[in-house]
Amino acid sequence: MVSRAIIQELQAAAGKGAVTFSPEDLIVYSYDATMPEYRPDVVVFPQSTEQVAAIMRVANEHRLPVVPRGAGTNVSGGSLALEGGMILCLSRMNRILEIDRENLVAVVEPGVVNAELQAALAPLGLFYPPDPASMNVCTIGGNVAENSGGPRCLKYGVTKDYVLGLEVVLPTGEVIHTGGSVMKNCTGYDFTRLFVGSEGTLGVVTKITLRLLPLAEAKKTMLAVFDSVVDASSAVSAIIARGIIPTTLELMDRILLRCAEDFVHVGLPKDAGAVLLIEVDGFRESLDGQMRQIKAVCRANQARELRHARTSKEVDDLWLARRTVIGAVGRLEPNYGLQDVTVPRSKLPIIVEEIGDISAKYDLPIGVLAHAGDGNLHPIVLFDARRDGDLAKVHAAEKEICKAALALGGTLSGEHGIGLSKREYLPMEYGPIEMSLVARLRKVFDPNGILNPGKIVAGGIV
Amino acid sequence: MTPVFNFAALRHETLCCNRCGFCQATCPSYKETKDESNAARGRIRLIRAVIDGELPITEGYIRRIEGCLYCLSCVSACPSGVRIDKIILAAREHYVSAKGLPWAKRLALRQVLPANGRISLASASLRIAQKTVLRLPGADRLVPKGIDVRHLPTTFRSLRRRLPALNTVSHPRGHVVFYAGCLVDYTMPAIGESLVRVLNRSGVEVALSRSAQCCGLPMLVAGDTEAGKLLARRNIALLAEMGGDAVVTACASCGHALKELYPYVFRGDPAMQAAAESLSARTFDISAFLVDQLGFRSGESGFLASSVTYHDPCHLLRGQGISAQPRLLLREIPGLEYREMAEAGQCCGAAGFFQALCPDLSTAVSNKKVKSIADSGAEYVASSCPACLQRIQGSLNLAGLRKKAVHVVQLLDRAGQGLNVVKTGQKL
Ligand code: SF4
Ligand code: SF4
Repeated sequence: MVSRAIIQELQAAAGKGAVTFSPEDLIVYSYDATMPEYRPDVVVFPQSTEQVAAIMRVANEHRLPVVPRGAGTNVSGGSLALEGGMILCLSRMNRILEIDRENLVAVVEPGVVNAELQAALAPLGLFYPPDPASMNVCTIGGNVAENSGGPRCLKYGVTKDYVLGLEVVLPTGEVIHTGGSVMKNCTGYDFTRLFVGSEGTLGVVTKITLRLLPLAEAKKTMLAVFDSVVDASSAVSAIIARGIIPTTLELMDRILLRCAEDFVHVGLPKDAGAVLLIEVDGFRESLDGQMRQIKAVCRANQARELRHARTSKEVDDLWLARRTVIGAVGRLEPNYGLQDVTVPRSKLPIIVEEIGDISAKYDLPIGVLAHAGDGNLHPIVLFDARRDGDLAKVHAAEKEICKAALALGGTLSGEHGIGLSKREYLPMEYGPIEMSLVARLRKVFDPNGILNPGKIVAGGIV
Repeated sequence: MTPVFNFAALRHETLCCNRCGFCQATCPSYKETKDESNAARGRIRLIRAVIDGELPITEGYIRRIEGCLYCLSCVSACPSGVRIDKIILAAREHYVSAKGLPWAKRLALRQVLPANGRISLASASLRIAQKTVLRLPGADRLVPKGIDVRHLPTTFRSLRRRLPALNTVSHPRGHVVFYAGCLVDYTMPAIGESLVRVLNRSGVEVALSRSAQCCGLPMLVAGDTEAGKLLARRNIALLAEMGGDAVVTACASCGHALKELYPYVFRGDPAMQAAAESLSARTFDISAFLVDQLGFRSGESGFLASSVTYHDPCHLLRGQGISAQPRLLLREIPGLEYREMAEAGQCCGAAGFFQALCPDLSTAVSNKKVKSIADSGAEYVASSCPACLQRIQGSLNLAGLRKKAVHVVQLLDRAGQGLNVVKTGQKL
């Protein structure tokens, strides 16, 4: 519970209409895109850096936990109010402050929705490469906090490769600036990169300077259909081994194909073992050559069919299917556990086989979705929380997937972060020294431990 | 009153929401407020809280569920296929049966709309007011914000008093019943007159359902299911009795009620459900009827030198899955340049009583529509629903834009004026 006095201080900091503690609001800010729920005590909607700073000072003084969030599409439980306290919702700080065409730089507030930024850039012939599947709703602030990726990050890199500078409010209420609009910056430590992917545990990002790229002249999109998911992943490893880097190399197995097709109805092959959604972009003349090489590799790996998207509608349909497929698994089972393990790209066929074995062992359907070109997998364990026993089984299966990835030289998370869902697995990858470094680093920024307590590693308010 | 929807049984449906959040991208009330409790995902969670007894029916709860425009955008955007519309209808019925309707809604839904005489009186009274008190300085304070009440279409002579019960042609190739609905009948009869002329010119005779009643959609979406069902029963019986090759509508919401909601509300009553489904199967939006059933080609139907854009009504695009036919009709009118507007499928903000109850939200949504229309540069904005047309025309007026909002059949009618071709094609 938060006292009336604290509420009044928060109202003074952010404005009366920006603070809510009605039961209805607390219920709807108790979840993100994962399963668990934790009710906050208060939700605050700041609209400026000054307000965020004032809010943080109040919270720090009263040792009130603060969980920053945007659209609430977090897939690792990172925006849950684990210890109660405050949800700091940044969705209303959603202005695009500047698009600098001369320097190919944009400055935005954290609540700007990824797709809205893309929509503002496209008419200028520009784009911002990271494109998480939830790009139509997720915010840039959330992307920065999670160091989000997306399909085209195979060619272009992830969020951290595009953040040039930040304005950050520290948990103690001071405002700092890191980096800037310059393309190179070697002055002191790289604070910018430290904040990117810090999952809202080190500071609250209030302004973001992003690097932009000119839109490619043309692109080509193809669907390669395979009878087995192992063949499809062998094709991926072979494409990369040949030194070909397409824009995207997305893999969807049969379970996911079926869910996707049931939602979008665009004629995806529901009987196939897996498909690869392959896109190349660049100068018009270069595309046919790239595609020819890719097709040859696919054929050599038993692709049974290679379908070109002919119209922009066909391209959009394929991407709609891919972007919505995680949600579409709701058609099979009401709940899912989503993993984000990443392995060296040559190991893709091995981990895919191992996931198949784990699925059989636990008798649980596990769909395989992957930014395959990156070796980044999203195995989706499907279950129904209302059926007894499932949950324990689900956790055991997930843990085994993580173990398998680590054994292959991989990592727990490629782009979703550790948050709450993977917190217990972190000691499988981090040794005791790394674990203690995380805690010590956090203390430097957040002496009272108020910012997103309990995420990444256990621990709470000091 | 006995609930029609099994509220508790909907718990399963609420659990099918796996909280991906994708509905935020399409939900107009979320986009304006950025408030999770105004998004489909939030509403579903709140409804589950009430089902589970975690939250009592509070005023705040009702306000948030009322804040849904029933635009169906979330339903088509939801990858999991959650029927948010059905969950919302059930939730509204649930709190209305527990708490009753507010007096103003009660008056409109229980006293005025079910009685044709009173609708007619209401329209006429507003017309008198428009010519008198609403002209007085300071009258703005009397009317809801954002709605151009002074210019809302009203009439002293309803469609059913303007046209005979049967509008026939020599050697008719078909016979249809026109279900006009309250708004066309009592406020925009010109749409109905155009529809009859267009069908007559195509050789189809048109009967008007003189004792037809309000379709009941306003009651159903307000949670007064019982009142809505009463009207549904009467309309189903009347339209069955009138027979004909088909029933046509010019109002997207009436069409959605007849085609989609009637069969849904009579689930569990096999005889009524069968009757509702048979009506559903032979009910057509006028554009769909012209294109799909009649093979109507506007290319052969005259000339109109102008430009037009098209707004998809929620209850036609998502409520009945119709978007191609009205565009085809407009595109083929010789001389008429068609310009697609951005986000043509976005709600216009009217949403029935919503615009009076949540004027700020409604106006914000409506202003986006006005911007899309203005950016298209077209002279006319055409649509397929009198409710959208009234809202859009009002918002265009208030924005000082001299553009006209018209029904698709009005443009077809105007293009075809002077022509008197009675096509003697195949019998329907
Ligand atoms: S899109 Fe569907 S599944 Fe996703 S949050 Fe909205 S209602 Fe739930
Ligand atoms: S019907 Fe429209 S307003 Fe209502 S929840 Fe769905 S998208 Fe939002």
